[in-house]
Amino acid sequence: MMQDFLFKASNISKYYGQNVGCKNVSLDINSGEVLGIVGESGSGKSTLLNCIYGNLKVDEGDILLNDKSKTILNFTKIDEPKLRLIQRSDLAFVHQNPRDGLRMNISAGGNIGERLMAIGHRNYGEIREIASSWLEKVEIDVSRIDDKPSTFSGGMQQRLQIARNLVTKPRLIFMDEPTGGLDVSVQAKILDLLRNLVRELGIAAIIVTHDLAVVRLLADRIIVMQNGNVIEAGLCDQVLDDPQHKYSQLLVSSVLQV
Amino acid sequence: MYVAVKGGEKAIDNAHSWMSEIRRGDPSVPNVSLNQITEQLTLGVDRVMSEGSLYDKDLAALAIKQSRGDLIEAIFLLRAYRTTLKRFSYSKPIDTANMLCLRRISATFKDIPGGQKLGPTFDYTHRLLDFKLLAENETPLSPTQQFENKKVPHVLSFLNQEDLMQKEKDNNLDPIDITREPISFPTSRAARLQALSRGDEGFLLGLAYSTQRGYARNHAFVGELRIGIVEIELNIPELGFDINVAEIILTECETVNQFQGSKIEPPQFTRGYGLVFGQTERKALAMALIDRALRWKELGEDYSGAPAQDEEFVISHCDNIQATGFLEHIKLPHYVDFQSELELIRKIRADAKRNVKRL
Amino acid sequence: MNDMSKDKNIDIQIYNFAYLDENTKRMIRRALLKALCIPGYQVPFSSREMPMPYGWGTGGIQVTSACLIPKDVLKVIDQGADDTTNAVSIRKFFQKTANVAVTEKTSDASLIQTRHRIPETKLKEQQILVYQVPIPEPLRFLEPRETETRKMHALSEYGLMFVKLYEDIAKHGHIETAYAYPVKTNGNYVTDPSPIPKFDNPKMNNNPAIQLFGAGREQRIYAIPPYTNVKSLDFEDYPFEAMKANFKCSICGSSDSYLDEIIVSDDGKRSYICSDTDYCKEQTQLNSKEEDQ
Repeated sequence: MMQDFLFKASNISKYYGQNVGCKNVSLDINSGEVLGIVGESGSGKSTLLNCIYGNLKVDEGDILLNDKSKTILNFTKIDEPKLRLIQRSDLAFVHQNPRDGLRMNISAGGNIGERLMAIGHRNYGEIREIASSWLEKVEIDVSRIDDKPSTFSGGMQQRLQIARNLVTKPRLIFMDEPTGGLDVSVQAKILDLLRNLVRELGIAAIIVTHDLAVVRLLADRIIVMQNGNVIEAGLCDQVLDDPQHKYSQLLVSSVLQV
Repeated sequence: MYVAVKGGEKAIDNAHSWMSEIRRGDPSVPNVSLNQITEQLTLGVDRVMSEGSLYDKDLAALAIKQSRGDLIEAIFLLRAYRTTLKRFSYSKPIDTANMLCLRRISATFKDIPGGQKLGPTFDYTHRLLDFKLLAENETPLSPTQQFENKKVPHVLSFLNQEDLMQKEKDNNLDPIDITREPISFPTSRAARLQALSRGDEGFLLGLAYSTQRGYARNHAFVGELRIGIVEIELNIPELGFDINVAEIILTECETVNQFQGSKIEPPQFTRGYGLVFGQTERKALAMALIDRALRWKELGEDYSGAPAQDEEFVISHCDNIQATGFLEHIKLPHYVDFQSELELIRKIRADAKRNVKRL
Repeated sequence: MNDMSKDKNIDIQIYNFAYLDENTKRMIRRALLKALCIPGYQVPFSSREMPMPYGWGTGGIQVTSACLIPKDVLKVIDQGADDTTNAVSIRKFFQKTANVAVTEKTSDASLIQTRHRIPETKLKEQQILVYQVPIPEPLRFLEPRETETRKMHALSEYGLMFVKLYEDIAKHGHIETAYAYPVKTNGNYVTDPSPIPKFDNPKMNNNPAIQLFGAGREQRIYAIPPYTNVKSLDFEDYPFEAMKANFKCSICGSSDSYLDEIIVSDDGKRSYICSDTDYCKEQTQLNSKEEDQ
């Protein structure tokens, strides 16, 4: 069974001075699975995501990835070059603010092409073709290929960021409130897009959100966080329909009331 | 036709002899002597020694004279000379607690053991031009200052006793010598302090000022500023004891800064440190503020993106000899590069025109 | 005052051969050897203050100083020419401190220090070409941080470099870099060729001479050993193109050498002449010989 998981984090703790970022958190995810991390702002979910992606150094715990050659890598043990290589080839990260995940002064085509060129694509025409097809996939007019993201709407920027991340077919994608800054109508479109892409490509995803509607639509399993701790975990429908912990109940009921 | 484009040897020679002439100025005015410079332009000499990182008043004065008072040029002359000097040995670490202080002030305690001593300072002078100095024959003042030959403890050592001050840990490593080994980032505090100590006063001043205005604010108090004479000791293995090889004047500044504390450490004061050759207190103060700002990582503080917190930015750009050289090199001919830009822009413009026509 | 002038009167004789002391030369030679072993890799070295300003060739001068031996024949060029002010100044410096023979003839030189050009005359084995380098890091203007760019080299993270080329083509239809055009050395490190025009890039490839690069202010040395593969970055469908003004030199008539454009009259009339003065002289002599025959 040990070899089955794609990614596993165990007993992760992160402190900011005397404050707890997250404490003793464990999670695991299999290939093609979508895991939601929910909680209100300040609950430690973004800290956790950045820790397990390798952006933040953890104070305690292990982060394991079962890589393409079935070798188990521990992010807390490998050196930075190796980690970055993994981040570039096996992982992807979609930021809440597309400005953090895009190069704003580089054209849409260049943004999508960067990861391709990073792994050795050297044919301009081909790179452009792939970039065009991804613009289509994320429903951006292909004629905008040479425009900079700064001329795009927020929703378009977010769709471009998703295309930029998925173009090299990573095995696990981390998303931090991917629909956070967007209008409700735009959110729905992006969620729909994400659901189709993730299913179609068989990519596993870890999505951090405060929005239970997002996890209900996308996630297979969820964990609920409060004050840096995991208070409940399980299948998505199970937790949302029959929350056990008081805080989860509050969270679910507050959404239903809206 | 093939004349004006390339310069020549003769142009250089002519330019240099003209420059020497201008440097001397009107021959009817007496030549400025080196001891006039060492005695009367002391602070300029001190700056040239500190940023030239060579303690030699005569050579610094010579450099100032030769550079027509352009201090950065003088620093450059001194550095270029210094680099050719042999290293006989490294001295023992100096102990500034044994300094014979000409000036010693604290902004944190009114009464300090050993007392406050203003010393020869511009502080509290009114910045009014003193027209008495116009007189060529100033009568020398009789010395009124009694120089006390006694050592005074560091003010911050009193805070140390209460554990209120973070203790500096000795990592027992020999510090790198940044004039012999290249700095690589991230670097050690020892390397940073060396770079800052010979960094450009103006650059450091601006950066330190920026921390006071909120770009990585670190609430500095001047715990102690002392200027005075320190002995340089050398251990000579053949002799088996230390000998005093020189006495130099140094300016040392220790700031006291707030520190929030971390998970493992209770709140404490921390220190910013400045140490510079000669009487150079503006520089020593600035250095201490920047040293403290650069310590954010070690102290687990937030990185606010302020320039003064950015080690690579500060250290890579504080050396005025590197900076002035590179800035001024754009005066050198760039015919070839410019030519290829010309070709390219013509080509692009031609293509663009063709495309417009096609439309 | 008098004492001082006696003690510290600086006569050039008191400096070591080729200015730098032997310890410093040893340090630089070690860096050079390391650089030759790892072609294109930027080796940090403890650059010294030189009597010329940083940015005026101090890296090249230190490398030359560490390589020079008394029987060397030195040639110094700037913008391809032996008589530009900075070339004159550097040549004089080594004449004074090393008393080596100097030449303007490329084929006679055993060591050539250059700024911004590679001589038109083919270099040979046993020759050393020393480049002065202002910014050794080809990724610098894409990523300002040294800590970051060193990692990018270590991991061959060159995607960003190609993004720049991609953007050029998308915007202008071709790659916009005209000089300091990045190359890949020995299939490994992306390297800055110093600000030579891209016309010169092909000369770096498989060159029989040793090519050494010194960046004084940035404290870096790198090298291309003889007969090393040096490839200018490009796309399969947008191959690298060397480029020069499409004219003939108005002195020697050469159409295959790199040309400088000069303005010859007040109404802005242009003329073109070889940037490599030695090559131009040689061609002129060849022409007159042909005419004689």
